[in-house]
Amino acid sequence: MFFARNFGKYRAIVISVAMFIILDLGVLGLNFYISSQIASDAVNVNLAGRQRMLSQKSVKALLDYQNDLAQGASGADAYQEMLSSVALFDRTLQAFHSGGYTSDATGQEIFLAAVETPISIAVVEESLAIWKPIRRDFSRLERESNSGRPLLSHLVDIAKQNNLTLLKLMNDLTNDLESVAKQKSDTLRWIQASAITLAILNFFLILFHFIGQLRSSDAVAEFARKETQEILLTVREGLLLLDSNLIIGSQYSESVKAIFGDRDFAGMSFRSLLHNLVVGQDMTTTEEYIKLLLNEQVKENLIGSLNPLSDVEVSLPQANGGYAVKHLSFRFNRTIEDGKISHILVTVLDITETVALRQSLEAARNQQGLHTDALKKLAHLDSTTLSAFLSRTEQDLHAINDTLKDEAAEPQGYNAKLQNCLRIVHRVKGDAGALDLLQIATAAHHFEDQLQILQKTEGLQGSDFLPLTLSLNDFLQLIAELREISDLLQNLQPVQVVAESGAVTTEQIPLPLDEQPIMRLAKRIAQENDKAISVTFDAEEAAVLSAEQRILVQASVIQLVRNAVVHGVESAEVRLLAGKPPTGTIDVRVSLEADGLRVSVRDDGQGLNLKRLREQAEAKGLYSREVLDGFSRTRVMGLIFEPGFSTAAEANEHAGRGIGMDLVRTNVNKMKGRIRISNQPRRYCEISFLIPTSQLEDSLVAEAV
Amino acid sequence: MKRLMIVDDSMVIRRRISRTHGLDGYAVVGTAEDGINAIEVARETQPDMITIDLTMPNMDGPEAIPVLASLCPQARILVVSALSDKATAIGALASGAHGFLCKPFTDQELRDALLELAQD
Repeated sequence: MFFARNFGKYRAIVISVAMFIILDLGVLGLNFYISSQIASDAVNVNLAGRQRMLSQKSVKALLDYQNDLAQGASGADAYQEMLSSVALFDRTLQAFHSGGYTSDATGQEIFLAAVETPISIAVVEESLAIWKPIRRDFSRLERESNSGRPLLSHLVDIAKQNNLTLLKLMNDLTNDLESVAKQKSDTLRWIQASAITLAILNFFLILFHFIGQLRSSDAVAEFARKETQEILLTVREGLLLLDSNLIIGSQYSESVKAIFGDRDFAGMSFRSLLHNLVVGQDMTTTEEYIKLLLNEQVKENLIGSLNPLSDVEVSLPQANGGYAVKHLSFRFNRTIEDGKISHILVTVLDITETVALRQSLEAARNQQGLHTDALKKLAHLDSTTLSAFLSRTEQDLHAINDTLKDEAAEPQGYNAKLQNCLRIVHRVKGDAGALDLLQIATAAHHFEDQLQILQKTEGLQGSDFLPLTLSLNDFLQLIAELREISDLLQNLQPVQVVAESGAVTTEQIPLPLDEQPIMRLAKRIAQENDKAISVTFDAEEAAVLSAEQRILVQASVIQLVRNAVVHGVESAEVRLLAGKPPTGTIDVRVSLEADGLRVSVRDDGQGLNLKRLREQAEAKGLYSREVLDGFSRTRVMGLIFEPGFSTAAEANEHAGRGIGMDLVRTNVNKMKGRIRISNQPRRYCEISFLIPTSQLEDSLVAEAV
Repeated sequence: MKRLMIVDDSMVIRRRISRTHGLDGYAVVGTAEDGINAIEVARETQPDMITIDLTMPNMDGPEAIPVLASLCPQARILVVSALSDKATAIGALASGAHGFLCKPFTDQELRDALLELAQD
């Protein structure tokens, strides 16, 4: 466990090296042991050889001594030599027999172990048997030196008799000891040879094992490197890593070059990468944002929306020397190593096309103005909350208006003035967002933008505030419009009633379409467009509609009435010239038919001008001349329901810009209804839709449940 | 039960947060409509979690956050604001807040943000 944990992939090499060391130590130990044995064997062999020499030296000294005495000399030298030779021979032989000390060639005392092989033991035993009587006689001679002539000759006889035998025995001993020593050195050589062989084998084993392992790990690393390389080469995003000093790492994707130009970015600071693209305060903000990501305390998932570079417009140099305006999106993510934030991964994406698409979608949506969803949101809001919000916002906007108008403000007071406005509009935005009133939130946001631009402007003048007043008017208009719709919808709010059982239930009280707001709206629009109208209203049958359907029908009728006033009814002068009464009539009718409920809005105006509709569609680029020529009458009239289609010469609040006829079609589709247009140029136009019985029944069933 | 304090000059937002569905693990222990008030309330209630707006009268968020952070070191601070000025929000986070939630937000978004914030 410990091993695996601490050595991991190096386990094999550690085992091999350990084996190598153990083997070598073993061989070394054995070598040392045997070498010391061989050394002591060499001493034995030497001493055994010396015994040969000593046996001869003793006999020679004995004979010399006898000769000296015979010639009348003292013979002291020979006598001494004889005694020392005999003593040394005796001591050594005893030591060979049972172990003991003797002196070596230099006269040093050394310990001699008893011989061990059977041959040596036999030889030593035999030598002792012969030597012991001789040694006794030598001792006697020594003790009785001056009176031992007969003893001397006796000793000479014995010595002569046994001399060759002893010499042979000592020779045998030497040979035997030599052969033992040879055997040991053979063993040692054999052990050394095998150990070296084993060591070499182990070495090759390690070598091959690791070359193999290195190769395979190199192959893995190479594969991974190639993979990374391939990813970096092919990935569409620009990928790069920043360290804690915001310096770019050595590896980055090829797209980085495609986006920022073919340079080497490794080691470059992020600031230099964005040099000329993101400047001044924005660059500082970006760096501070990245530092937030490097701050362990801050939650990465909770600051994504603060990314200052989520969509930046930049001018990038092109190969042809020109510049292209691009939208880049930068994403910043932490990379974690050992539980710590190690780097920031930067992902750069060219979102130019996405932005263009989004902008065109937004433009299309804005053209359609308030769509059904917005209406629904209004309908679902608690009417008191909505009303309170609208009143307060109106007050706020008027307060801003007053502040802006306040001409007494000194130039140095402008900033305080702006600050005050900013705070108010910011709160309006927050509140609108909270109530999901995105239109107001957006309007507030734009207004806030304008204020902020002014805040950054140096040397403000009173006239700089003028555009603000205009935006403010638009804003107030929007609030007024919403209030109108809010009033319209108020009657559709669910009413809580106490049922007979006493339980509180929420139930729709059947109500017809709300006439008053529609009438008011029609009058106001007529007035603004300088037209005279009268509206007849017959909508009792609308009671069969579900609450949801009523919202859709009411919104559609509002639109059709707007359309009738703006596009249908002519001005009083034109009407008189055409022989019509100066006041136009608009007829709103809801009636039950055999196959459903029909809702119709009819005006006695100029009717649809097919020729103008075709021209308009062509001018707007909706269809080509050829295609339009192929359209039936009905199909041409249907053009007015297409998004973005408007025949009003100039966009104004009520038509040609605001709420599109497209909304009517969307609403009718939702109720699975069908639209019908009856039209007679210069006489009348009636647009109606039929909600099929199946839909009405559905809603009745749904309400019953 | 975590102790939540809401700081926002808008009544609508304060109500909106305190009435968020599914915040079962939280008790709103205090609300404040500006930075000065927030510091007083925080001192009394020692909240675990603070949501705070940036633009407020008297004392705004960026001024209040470092004070709140040192006053309640255990508290996690969530900046709840519109995206009008990212630099201010980033500065506020650098001065001791832990996360940012963009107005407008849904119940789910607020719940997720508080959950994320509570994690170590």
